[in-house]
Amino acid sequence: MGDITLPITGGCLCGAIRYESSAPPNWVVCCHCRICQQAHGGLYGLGLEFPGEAFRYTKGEVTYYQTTPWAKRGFCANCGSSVDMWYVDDPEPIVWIGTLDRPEDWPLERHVGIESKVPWHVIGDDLPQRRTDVSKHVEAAKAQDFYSARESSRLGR
Amino acid sequence: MVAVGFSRTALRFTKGEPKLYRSSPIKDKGFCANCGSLLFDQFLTPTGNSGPDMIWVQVGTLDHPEAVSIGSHTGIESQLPWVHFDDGLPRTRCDDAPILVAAVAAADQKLGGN
Repeated sequence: MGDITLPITGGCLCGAIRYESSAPPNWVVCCHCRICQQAHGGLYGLGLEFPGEAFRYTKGEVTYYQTTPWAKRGFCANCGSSVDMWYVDDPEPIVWIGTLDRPEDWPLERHVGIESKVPWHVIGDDLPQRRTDVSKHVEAAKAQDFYSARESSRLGR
Repeated sequence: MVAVGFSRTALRFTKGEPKLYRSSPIKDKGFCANCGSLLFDQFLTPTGNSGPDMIWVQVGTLDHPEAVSIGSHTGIESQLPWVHFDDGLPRTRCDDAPILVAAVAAADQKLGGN
């Protein structure tokens, strides 16, 4: 990784949306899940999670689409770039590596969502490969629905 | 992006209207304005092996992405150093295609850029 300059910055293709993180990411993954394939149009989503308190948007307005009861994904309404993803029960954003100003600084650590990998895509590294288990987030989404109508309406904010 | 090229006359949208963004002087990107899914790329000028008569659909948006496969890698001058492909497919730089380079230069000139 070499020397990392903080804050870590990035944004969408057209520049309408910009963000920064005052701290390095918690982790870096390649996600092969079906929703990443559809949202990005490719074979996977390359994402990293920033500490919630370190991350903020410095410019523009992200448009959100709730992909499941337990997660929403953000994009730029002008250029369509996918920017982030949030689980309902997690205050830490997953940001897509391609939107970083310096994506080369954050090498992959593992593959997730491997159960949905397209068969003809050959992974060319020896990193760990895991299935994705979202049951924790599903339960959290159910609990929010059940216990508080106000909370559930916030899911799609 | 990972895309599969269709003839523009063969592909039609059966529902909804994609939103277009001109990502470069020679190319539009199409996406869903509701959920942000990236749907396709389309060249505005001939580029040698592509052009306005082709539409490059993002593989991940196919109902069956497993049914197609890719034939080559392009734009490898920007490939991230920690990404590894072990598939033995041909790999090209964007500037390996003189017609593509000329198309970008012509479009830049028309726009008054340098």
